[in-house]
Amino acid sequence: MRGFYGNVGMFIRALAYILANGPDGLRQTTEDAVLNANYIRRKLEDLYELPYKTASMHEVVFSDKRQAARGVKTGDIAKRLIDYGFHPYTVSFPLIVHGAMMIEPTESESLEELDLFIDAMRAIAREVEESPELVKSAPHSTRVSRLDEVAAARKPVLRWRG
Amino acid sequence: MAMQGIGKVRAHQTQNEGLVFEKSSPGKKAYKLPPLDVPAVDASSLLGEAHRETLAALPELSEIEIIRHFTRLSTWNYAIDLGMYPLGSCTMKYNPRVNEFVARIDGLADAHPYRPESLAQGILEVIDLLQRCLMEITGMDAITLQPAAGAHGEFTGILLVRAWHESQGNARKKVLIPDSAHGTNPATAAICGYAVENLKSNADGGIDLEALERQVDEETAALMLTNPSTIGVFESQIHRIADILHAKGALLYMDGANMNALVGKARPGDFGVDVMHLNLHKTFSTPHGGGGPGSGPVACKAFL
Repeated sequence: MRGFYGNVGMFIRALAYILANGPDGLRQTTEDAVLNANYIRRKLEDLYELPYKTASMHEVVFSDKRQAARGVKTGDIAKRLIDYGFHPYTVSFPLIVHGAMMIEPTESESLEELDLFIDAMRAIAREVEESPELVKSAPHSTRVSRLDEVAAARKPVLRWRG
Repeated sequence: MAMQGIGKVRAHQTQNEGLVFEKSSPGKKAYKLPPLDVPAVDASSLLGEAHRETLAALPELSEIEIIRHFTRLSTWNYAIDLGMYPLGSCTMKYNPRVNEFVARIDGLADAHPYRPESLAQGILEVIDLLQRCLMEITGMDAITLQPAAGAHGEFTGILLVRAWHESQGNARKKVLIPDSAHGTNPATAAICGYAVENLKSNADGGIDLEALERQVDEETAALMLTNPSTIGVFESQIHRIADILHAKGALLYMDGANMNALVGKARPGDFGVDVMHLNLHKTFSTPHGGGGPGSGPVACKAFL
């Protein structure tokens, strides 16, 4: 158990958020979070496979099934999103969806930002059809492209040896 | 590279940046100590074996070089303040500036855990009010704010479940976990001494009621359920799920990772949840950055 009262600085921030929004505001954030996820779902479901058709709440999970037929996986699409200036969605989770692409926009995003994201995802779907290698070798706009993620986690180099 | 003009955030990633050690040059300093205005003492006699004869192998740079190095590195980061961060399950919402303003108010920012309670009434009121808000939002009867993260909250919650079963004379042996669960759920159950039993999802990605009925028995301590599930679907049979568990004396634990879909709309305490955790850094807009600090409050029903 955490000492004393816990991370008190976070309690102040959370309370400020709750009081600043009030009951109606909090309800509105919930509605907007659900609306934003469903907007993305509706705008992308013609290009990306939707493994579960049940109504979405605050996040939507696609699979890379159609893109995988062209040799492009969820991780490749996520890396390509970096080139379009977005942080990737959650890759390969939950495990019950093969090639999962888990997208949670939250209520914070404006319609304009959501549309930019949707445009990027639609552009990537086109690239998968026209030039899959471009997506498979992404990102192209970063200092380093694809790291050996397993080695980085298992054998990190933490000390400078001149 | 055909970008069709889409995309917004462009970090200054094209600029090379060596390690701070590579930039080091002997004798450079970022500081200058003021003249000694206290009696000089012999460091080696004070420090004994801990006194070192040689300098530590630290990089030597001027202040502006250090500032530029870390400022450049900071521009390589992606953050919610730069653009959309659609990392599912993590609820990477904007952290409103008013939160930071309030957290910096002198009386709150200066609160110290060793301050006597008579002088800490303000911060205690903040804590108490937050607890009451969170109990109202979740529909639960009691809460602790101490756990420092979601996984920490799960651990606290399942230890609570275990302690309650022990008080009933049998700690029980297993915890049921859907195959769609966050990986921390089975880890928590195992660390708390329970066998983890996998519960297969139905065709809608939700709990398979028939499988649940088959698998819940008198040795089942709890079901750890995420609602909405990790595919973002609300468990429409949640009352039935709670009834099946309670009929066998098992408890319903809710992973509150997805509470951002429920606040102000539905209360876990009203749909049969016995104990749950929240993530203030997800649903309640406190920062995720730099590894925290997070906060994973645990709320439960009165009988616990």
